[in-house]
Amino acid sequence: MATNEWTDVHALQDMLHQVQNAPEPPRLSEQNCVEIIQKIIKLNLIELIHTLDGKEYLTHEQLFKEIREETLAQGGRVSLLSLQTNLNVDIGYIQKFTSDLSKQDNQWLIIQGDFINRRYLDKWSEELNDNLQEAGILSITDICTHHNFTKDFVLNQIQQRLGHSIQGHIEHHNADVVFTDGYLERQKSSIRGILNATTQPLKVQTILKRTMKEEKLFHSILTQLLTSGEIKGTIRGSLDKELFIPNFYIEAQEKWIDSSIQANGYTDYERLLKSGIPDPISYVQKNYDTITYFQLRKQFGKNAVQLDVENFKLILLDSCCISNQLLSQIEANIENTLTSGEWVDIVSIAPPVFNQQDCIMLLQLIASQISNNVQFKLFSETAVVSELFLENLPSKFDDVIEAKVQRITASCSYLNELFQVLTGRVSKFKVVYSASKPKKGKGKGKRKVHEQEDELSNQYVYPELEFMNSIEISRYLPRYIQEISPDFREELAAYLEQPLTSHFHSMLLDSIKSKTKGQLSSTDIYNQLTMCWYHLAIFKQAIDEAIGIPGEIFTRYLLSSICSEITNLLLYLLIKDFCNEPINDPKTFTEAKRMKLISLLNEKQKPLMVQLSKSLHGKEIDIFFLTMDKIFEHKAFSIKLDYPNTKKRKSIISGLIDTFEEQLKEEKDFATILHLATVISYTKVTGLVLHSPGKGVPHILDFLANNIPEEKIRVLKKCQSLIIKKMIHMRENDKWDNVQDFEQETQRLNQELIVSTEEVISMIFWH
Amino acid sequence: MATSTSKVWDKQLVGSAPVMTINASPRDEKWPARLKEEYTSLIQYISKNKENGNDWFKIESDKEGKKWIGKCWHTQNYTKYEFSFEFSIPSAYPNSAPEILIPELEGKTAKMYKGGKICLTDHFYPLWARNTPKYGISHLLIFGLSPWIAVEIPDLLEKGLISK
Repeated sequence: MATNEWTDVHALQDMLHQVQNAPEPPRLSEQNCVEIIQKIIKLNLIELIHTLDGKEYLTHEQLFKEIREETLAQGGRVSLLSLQTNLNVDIGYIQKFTSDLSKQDNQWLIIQGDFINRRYLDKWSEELNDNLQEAGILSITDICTHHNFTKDFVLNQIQQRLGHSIQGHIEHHNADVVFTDGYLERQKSSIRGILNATTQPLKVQTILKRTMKEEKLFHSILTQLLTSGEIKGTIRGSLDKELFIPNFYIEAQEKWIDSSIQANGYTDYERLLKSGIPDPISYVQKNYDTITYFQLRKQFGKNAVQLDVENFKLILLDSCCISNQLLSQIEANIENTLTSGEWVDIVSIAPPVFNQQDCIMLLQLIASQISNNVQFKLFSETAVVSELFLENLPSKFDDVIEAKVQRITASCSYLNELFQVLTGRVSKFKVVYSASKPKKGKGKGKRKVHEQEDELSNQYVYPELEFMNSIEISRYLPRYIQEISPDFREELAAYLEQPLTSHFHSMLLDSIKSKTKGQLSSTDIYNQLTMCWYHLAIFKQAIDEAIGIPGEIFTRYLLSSICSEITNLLLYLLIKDFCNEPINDPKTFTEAKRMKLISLLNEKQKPLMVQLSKSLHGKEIDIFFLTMDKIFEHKAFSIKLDYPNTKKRKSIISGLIDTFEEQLKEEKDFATILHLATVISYTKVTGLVLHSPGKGVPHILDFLANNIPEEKIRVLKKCQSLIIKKMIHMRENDKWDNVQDFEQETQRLNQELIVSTEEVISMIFWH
Repeated sequence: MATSTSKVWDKQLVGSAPVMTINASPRDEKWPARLKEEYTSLIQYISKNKENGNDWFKIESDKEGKKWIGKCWHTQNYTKYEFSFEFSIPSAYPNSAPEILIPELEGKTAKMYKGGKICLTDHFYPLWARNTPKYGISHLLIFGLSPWIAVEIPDLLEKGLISK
């Protein structure tokens, strides 16, 4: 067994030997082949291109051949990428070789990465022509998309073939479509038919939808038809709003608008727009004699121009236009209303289509034309109100005011103070500085900036003096004015606030007056007392410094008049607050009344007041002054009156002279005229004011005789003698037998006195 | 990835050199049977190489098949470099692989042990250990000697340690 094995082993050894030594068939390995070919290429003996997988080599001629064959096999058009895939050659070579091929042979083209043979284009154009003849029109864009060509290339190719292989047209300015003659004629007929049949404006878009899709071609056809006069109409508007309007429609429309404007006197632009006029203002300006609102305002501003209502003219406002005739009608209407003391809101009388702005413009035009005799005010820009209406308006609130006044007079505990305030002795307002809100600074906490801007505002001292604010008034207004617009109501309420408050104050004042029955307030008494004291000081100085005049007459008169008045006022001031019985005017106190009132005073006040009262009956005024000084010093009275300083004295003297002169102008009594003229003349000469009784006049005249021109003293003396004469005449009336004679003499004397006193007055005022 | 690629490649090579079925060392009775398989495998592999023009070695053994000698060659730059190699079948064969010697290259490369033994430790012995007793002499040459020559000879040529 083992021997057999070894025999086999030896046999195999021999076989191995044979196999190893067997001659090798002649062959070149792939590696060798590659090396050999590379060697040949290196030696420039051959030019080869290897395939992408590197397994094959191609000569240039082979590649050219393969590209051509592959392209033709694909129908004459193949993409370079397909060539790369199909020929298994790098894209760089494909690009280079196709490019070379297209340069060498004009039968080959490279278009958008496609390698194309001209036969393909011929076939393509034939196919295109077939489609065109079938459809009548083809979109260049569709062709481009379908065949994956650029628009320029397709246009170029079609234009080259137009009239030959492609039977159709391309418009120069509309290169979007290619169409056949038949198609063009069909569309023309269709559009002509539609447009000739239409009786009203038709949207171009609508026609377009019904006929063809190509807008530019449609417009081209439309323009041709309009230019050649085959259809009669106009195209208005642009883009989507483009309208075809037949000529006869435009004519009818113009007639209708014209008749509407002539009949109504106005028209609004919105209405014109709706009726198909795209630019109403231009339309109106073109067809009518117009003037704009601003031009008219300018004319009115320069001088009062009357509207020429004879020639029809339209005034252009904001949203409409109005004829001059209608404007003048409205103006007359408003003027009538104002003359009758009423008000009118122009919105209510203007045509309903007028908007707010139009109404404002209209009213401004009318306001500048209304006669100067008619006084009015404008509210909320559209309401015009006569001044008369405004003046009467506060009185319509009388019932409300009356109720409030009654409430105040019944409940208010300080009516006297209110009286003072209302009569202007004390300011109605307290000045309040209201600081505006502090501006917030950027910083935090302490860095806040408080920039305050002071504003002055008035607030009533007493809340009772406030009547209604504008909001409250606004609520009441509809009671008295019907159909009032909210804006007008607010403005009118704001306007009425002041007049209504004044009206309320006057009614309140009247009511307080009637309630207090003429009782004077402490302040009134004090003021009167001060004024009397100043006068007394001035009159006393005149007596003290008078030369050639007997002082006693004047002193006694002063004690009985001014000093008595001062005593009474002082007494009234002291007892006013606790005296239960009503006290009349303190100036009219009799001696008995005075003594009775003094008895009511407390024990501290009583002696000095008794002394003061007694001093009035003496001859010396100094006692009165001494007593007054004691009263000023006494704590029980707490009253102090100062003597006037030089400046005050001068102003009081000038005030007294003014008062005398005013009295002189008004006076009718001859004796008083002479009295006043004498006192005024004395003051002019001496600078002193005498408080003179009637019997002091001759003494003053005696003084003046030496101190004023003779002619003047003659006038005064003449008047004096006539007065004396009349007095004697009147006293001796019983001596006259004939009453008629007495009357005649009296009349004569009166005539003379009138002439004489006129001379006196004119002397005082003109010399 | 590299592992799977090398496995495919191994299979292809193994396909051209059939594997052994008998596990026997020179001391075993079955050694002649094993030797028959070795020869058959070698003959088949060499025949395939000849067909493909990839013939790269010649080998022969003594009668018992214990001592093997041969020549292998490498072609580079149109030049054929030929080297003698030899190896003995170890007594533990096929559990331990034979050690190939190329005495003429001793001292020229680091990938060689003393006495001209080429270094198979890294790239071949683990493979042999996994495939024993299926691998035989033909596999020793395919996976042991061939890669060593493919790597080392171009290196030695570049260094100028080998001349024509």
